[in-house]
Amino acid sequence: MMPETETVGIERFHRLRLVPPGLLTLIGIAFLYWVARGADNSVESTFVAQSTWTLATAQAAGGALLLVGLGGAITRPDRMIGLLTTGLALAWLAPEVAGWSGAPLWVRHTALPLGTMFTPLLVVIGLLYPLGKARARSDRRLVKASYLFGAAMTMAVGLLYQPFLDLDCWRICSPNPLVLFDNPDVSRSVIDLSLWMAIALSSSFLWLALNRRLARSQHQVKAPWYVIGPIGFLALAEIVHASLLLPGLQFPVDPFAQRFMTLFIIRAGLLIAVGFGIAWDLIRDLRIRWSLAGLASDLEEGASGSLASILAQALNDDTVEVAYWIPRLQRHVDANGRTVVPSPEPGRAVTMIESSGTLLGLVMHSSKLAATDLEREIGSAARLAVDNERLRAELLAQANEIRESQGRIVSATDATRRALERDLHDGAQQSLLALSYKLRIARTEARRAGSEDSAAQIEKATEETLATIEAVRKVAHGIFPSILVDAGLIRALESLRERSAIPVDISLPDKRFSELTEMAVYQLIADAIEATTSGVVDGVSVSGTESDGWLTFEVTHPNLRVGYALTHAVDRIGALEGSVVFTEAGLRAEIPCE
Amino acid sequence: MRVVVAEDVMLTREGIVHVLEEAGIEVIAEVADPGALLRVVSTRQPDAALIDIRMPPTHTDEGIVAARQIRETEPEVGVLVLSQFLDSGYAMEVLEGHPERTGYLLKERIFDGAVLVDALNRVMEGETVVDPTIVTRLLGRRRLEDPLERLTPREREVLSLVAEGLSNKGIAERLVVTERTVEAHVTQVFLKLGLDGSPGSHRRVLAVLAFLRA
Repeated sequence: MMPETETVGIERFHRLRLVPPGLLTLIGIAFLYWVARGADNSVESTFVAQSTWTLATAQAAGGALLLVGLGGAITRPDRMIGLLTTGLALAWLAPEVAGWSGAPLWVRHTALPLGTMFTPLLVVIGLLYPLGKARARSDRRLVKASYLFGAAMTMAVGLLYQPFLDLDCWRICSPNPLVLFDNPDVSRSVIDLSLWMAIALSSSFLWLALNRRLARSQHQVKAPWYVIGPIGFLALAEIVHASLLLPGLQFPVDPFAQRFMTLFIIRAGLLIAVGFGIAWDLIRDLRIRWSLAGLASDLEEGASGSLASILAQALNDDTVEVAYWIPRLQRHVDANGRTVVPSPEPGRAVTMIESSGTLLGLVMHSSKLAATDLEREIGSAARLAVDNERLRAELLAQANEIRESQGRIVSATDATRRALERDLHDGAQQSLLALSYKLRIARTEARRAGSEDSAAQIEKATEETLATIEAVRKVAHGIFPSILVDAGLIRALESLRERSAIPVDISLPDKRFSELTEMAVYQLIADAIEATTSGVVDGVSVSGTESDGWLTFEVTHPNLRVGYALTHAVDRIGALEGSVVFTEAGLRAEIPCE
Repeated sequence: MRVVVAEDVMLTREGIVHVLEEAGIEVIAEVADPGALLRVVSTRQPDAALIDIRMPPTHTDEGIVAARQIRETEPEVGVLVLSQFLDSGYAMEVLEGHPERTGYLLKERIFDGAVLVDALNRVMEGETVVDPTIVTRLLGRRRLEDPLERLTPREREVLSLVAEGLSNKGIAERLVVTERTVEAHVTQVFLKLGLDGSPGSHRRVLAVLAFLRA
């Protein structure tokens, strides 16, 4: 009952993890409200008060991110992306909240440093998207640096920045009640440092992201362009924004200069794009998960056949292939037990499905399904069904293996028999021929010497030798019908008919098939005719047609029944993946003939 | 008569050559593989070629292939294929296409000088030679409704000789009757079996063989 307890554990864990995003979202809603209020009366200190455009885009960006953040936190509590997106929304709205003169001072002074987290959070999302896991060591380092410097600078702004002493203050200029010591130089340095941090983190991110795109590592879950693109441009915008705010450019800064207004709207627009991108992935991810949720029952019902077809349907990806690893055979097979060689191609990703540390199989699918962690989505119940399918595939693979080895045995037997037949013809029969020749010479000489008795005896010996040659010929033909290989099935069956003790009627397509196929068909028909012969006068009728690479034929005779005499021949047909059924009229066989 | 002998087993080859020379037939070359045979045939223009059905390299149907090739390229050269196989299918493979000047003889006949020389002579005269054992087997085949039952014993005899490839003249000599009588028998047989007239002695061999095999 391990899987059950595990599920319960995860659910409880999930519920607890919903508390922080819930609280943050509530704060975000409050922020949206305050920002809207600020637009009414804080013309001096907020962007949103400048125009309907700034207000609309700022609110839309904040709202979209909050929504996506909450959605992500609910549907994907195992990933950080939801929480980080909510954080990004708060950091985005925070400066505007700080700028609203109507808000309580403690709110404004808390909101102001929160804005410092914007760039670090943006970089972290860019690095962790979509699975909430960093892909490379350099990514992990930058994530850590972002958290560290972001937190440090937020604390620094909160505890060391005194807007009251800042000549350039505009969002808020009232004294910070939390400040540790009042020093204008420290205040200014803290702000500059936070700007430099934004530049440093953004540039590092852009450098890593561009390198990754250029390196194009395959078979990894990649962040989709529609999310990573806007994030990249936002990072660029952050660099521009921070550079413009750094001292020495134009002092004092007019916060509502046209370029700042434009930049604000661009940033808001890019944030909206990020929000839509993440939402798109969330919806797709949800859809796939819903489809996969029924996987276990689908598999158990054996609905559309195999895991591969069900996955293809669920993922809306026709190229899905499933390969099961069969340790005993040391190779991969598909659900039908046929050997497959998983060869990674560009644009394809491979997901390993494991169960308690054992590899069950590989799913090869389009690498576009980045946002869904297939391996996780195939739950424990489905895993059981997957394992069932693997076992079934293993059985089929073993059956195939046996069939193949059966085929090899048959081929080897044929080769031996053929060699034996040849030996009889080229060895024994030739010697007998030579003997008959010598006997003829001896007879001629006996006659010449006038010894008629000897001549008569030699004559008798010659006849016996010829009879032996005939006997050897029959044995040789029984061992292997050469004419089958030399002239084909139809000719061989005609010969069979010439020798048969009962009338045989044959109507089969007159063409050559592979040697193994011809052997199998010949053997079955020959054995069937042989089996019907005893004490019966009725004729045997053989008729068949070829279509779609299959030769289907019937051997009709009232005496033809399932019997030991045909086992070997039926096995031969089976070894070539054909089949034989016994009917009222006789037997019907099908065999692939291409 | 100048002949070439193609047989890869030395013992048999020597025997054949001996029998032929005893009968006063000139053996211009003895070869052991199809390549050498075709070279001799094209450069030295023998009257006939005796060809073993099984020859190197694969010992399957090389003899048949070589025989056909000679019939295609050197229609004046008679071809007698020596075989250990009774299957009429092999005979058909050899005769199909060019039944004239072609023969299919079982190997054990070759040391019977008279039979061999007779077959060679017939091939040289443009006839077709089918081993009588094969014809006998075809005639003895079991059939559900046997059209051969409609024939008189004499007609059956004539039919089998036609199947062996004999001309009317040959049949007349064999049965010690007049050629006209043979003609009458043949017409009667063809009529009873529903076969097409007499399209020349070698073509009618194929017609009869095909009928017997069907």
